[in-house]
Amino acid sequence: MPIKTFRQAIIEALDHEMARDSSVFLIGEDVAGGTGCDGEIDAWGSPFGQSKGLYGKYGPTRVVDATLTEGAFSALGLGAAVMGMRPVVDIMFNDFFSTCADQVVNQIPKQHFLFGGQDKAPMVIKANHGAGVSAGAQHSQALHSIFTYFAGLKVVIPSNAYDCKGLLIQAIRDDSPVVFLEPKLLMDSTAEVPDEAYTIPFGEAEYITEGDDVTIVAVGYMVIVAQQAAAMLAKEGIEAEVLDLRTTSPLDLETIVESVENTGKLVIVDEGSPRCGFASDVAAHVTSLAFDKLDAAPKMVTAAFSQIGFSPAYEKAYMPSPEKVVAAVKELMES
Amino acid sequence: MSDIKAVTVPKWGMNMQAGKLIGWLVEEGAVVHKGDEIAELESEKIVNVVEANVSGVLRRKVAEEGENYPVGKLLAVVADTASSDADIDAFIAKYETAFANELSHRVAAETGPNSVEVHGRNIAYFMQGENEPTTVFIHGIGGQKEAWMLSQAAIAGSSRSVAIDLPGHGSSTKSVDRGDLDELAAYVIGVMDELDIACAHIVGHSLGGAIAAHIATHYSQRAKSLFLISSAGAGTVVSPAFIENFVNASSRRDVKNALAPLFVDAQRVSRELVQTVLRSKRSEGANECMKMIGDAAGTALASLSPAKTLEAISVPVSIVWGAQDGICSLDNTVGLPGSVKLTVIEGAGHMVQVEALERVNGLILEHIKAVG
Repeated sequence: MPIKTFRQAIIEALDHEMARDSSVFLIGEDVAGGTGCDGEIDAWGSPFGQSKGLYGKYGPTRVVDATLTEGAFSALGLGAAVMGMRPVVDIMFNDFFSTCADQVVNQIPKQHFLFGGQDKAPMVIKANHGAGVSAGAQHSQALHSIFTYFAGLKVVIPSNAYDCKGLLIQAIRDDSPVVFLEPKLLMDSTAEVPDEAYTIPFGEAEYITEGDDVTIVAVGYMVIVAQQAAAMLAKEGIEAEVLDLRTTSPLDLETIVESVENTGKLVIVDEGSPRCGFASDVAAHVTSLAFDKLDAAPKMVTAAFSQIGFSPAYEKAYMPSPEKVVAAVKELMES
Repeated sequence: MSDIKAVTVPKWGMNMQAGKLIGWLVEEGAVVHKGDEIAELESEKIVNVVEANVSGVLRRKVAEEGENYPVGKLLAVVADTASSDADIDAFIAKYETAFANELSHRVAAETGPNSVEVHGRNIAYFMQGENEPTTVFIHGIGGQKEAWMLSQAAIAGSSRSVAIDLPGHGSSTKSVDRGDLDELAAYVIGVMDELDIACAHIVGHSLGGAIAAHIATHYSQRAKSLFLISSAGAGTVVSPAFIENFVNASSRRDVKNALAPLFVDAQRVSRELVQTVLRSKRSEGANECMKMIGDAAGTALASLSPAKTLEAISVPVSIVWGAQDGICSLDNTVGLPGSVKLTVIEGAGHMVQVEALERVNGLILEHIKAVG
């Protein structure tokens, strides 16, 4: 099977769906990229090249470079979706959602409800996610917990190129609004990705490793961190079961609980905030569902409750690392 | 030879493949210390600095500004002043040759198993071993070529082998015209044609066995012998619900439940197996294809008498069956022709080649050697 990057998986998923369904279009800042400047048209295709080639193939009516007006073009997306199209709205960095928050939290998720089910908003809000590339305080946050807060939004964060393609195709075909987050550090990661289209259902966690000693759950790039931690733990004879949750909404609590019933220990690795974050949410839900199965309180390995400096040393201290996960697991094993 | 060191394109992220040299920060001839910033490199639209990994004199800038370079490519050479320019040239030549070699390996590692076009569809296969005769492996419904890897390895010393992904399965095109035995056998023959295999031992499991028997009947020159495992062609399908359950399963749990009847030991349905099957089923068209094959081939098989099918085959036939097979019944094999060699393995179900892997591999090898 062909090996492809995460970035290629995004491009292929968009390409498949744009070819298959003429109501699918991409709009956002720099999705064509370079258009209007001197030199090559479609120079970049988004900041990480994750829409490269689509402008040349589908042209300016289906790959629409927007002005710096997230509020306006996300509202345009909602209008188009209500009128029967399937827009993919790229707000570039997930941090920029605040500039279109009314659309993302107040309008888009509530459309179906407010009109008694007569309207639907089949659209994807796409953005890159997370730290690790020295992009600074306003371009490095992992804001999945904010989107997860709102009923009416589905929230997807793939951890590998294979899942990325299947989940993005599912997101475009889904009749609900979906927030699709692309971890920056994964763009060049590779996996076997079939050429043809496929979909992966939302709300189904994937086993990355199996183990009886501790359950480690994560999404996005943190799955890689958890996996590296599991490899380090394995050398010391500790078998960790790593679960990639794939979507934070819907959340596959059933699989987490099933695993915890076996291991009795839970570590949540998350790049979000330690306060009101995704890690706290999972910890609370699992604890209330399976308190008597847990040997100890779940451990959360999260980003620091802090701003993110662009210095690599600062980012390293800020983000969860395999070493921090290993330390948390060991503390849990000893308690 | 004096102390000459390479400064190369660093790997900043675990997934960084290449970087673009934005500009040099030092001139040729400058003294650099370990940790000094010597160039700016851009990867993923983020510019970072390349630091000297050694101390010495920056003797030569090899890379050019504005160009894109793969990780590991030589950027510059740092050495002491005692090294001659000729030494530096020799060092660069040697490094570039070794790096070109490494790059070609990187590319080679990315090309996977092969495929050929047969009747307008892409059919994937995996070949192992070199020696004649050739053995062709055909999987059952929902299976794929990778399942034969260990069997292929087991016979590699005596026979080269080709394991095929039927259409709708694995990496092959996810469509069929009708999905009946005629059509499926034609793909196997097509792959043999493309690979210049005139005649081969044919190993088939379940539906693959029925296809093997079909080949021996309709393309008698192409089959040297048959090795049939829990074969639909040689027994009666007793659990038609299996295919329906399998086709309809879309979640991990459903797939796990659907696969369980294949084995005596339910533990065999590992998470890894479930994951592999789910991935294969998710491919667009795969499920529809499996359903068509199940219906078309199933209809044909229901009207076939296994004993009569085998009687019509003139090449040597060996049959292996799991004694506890819950999918394909062994009952009808009582009437097998005397020339057919039958082995029934206790404690194994429909996936006897998995539950008694070494035993079955041994029997395949024995069969190939006996037939020659």
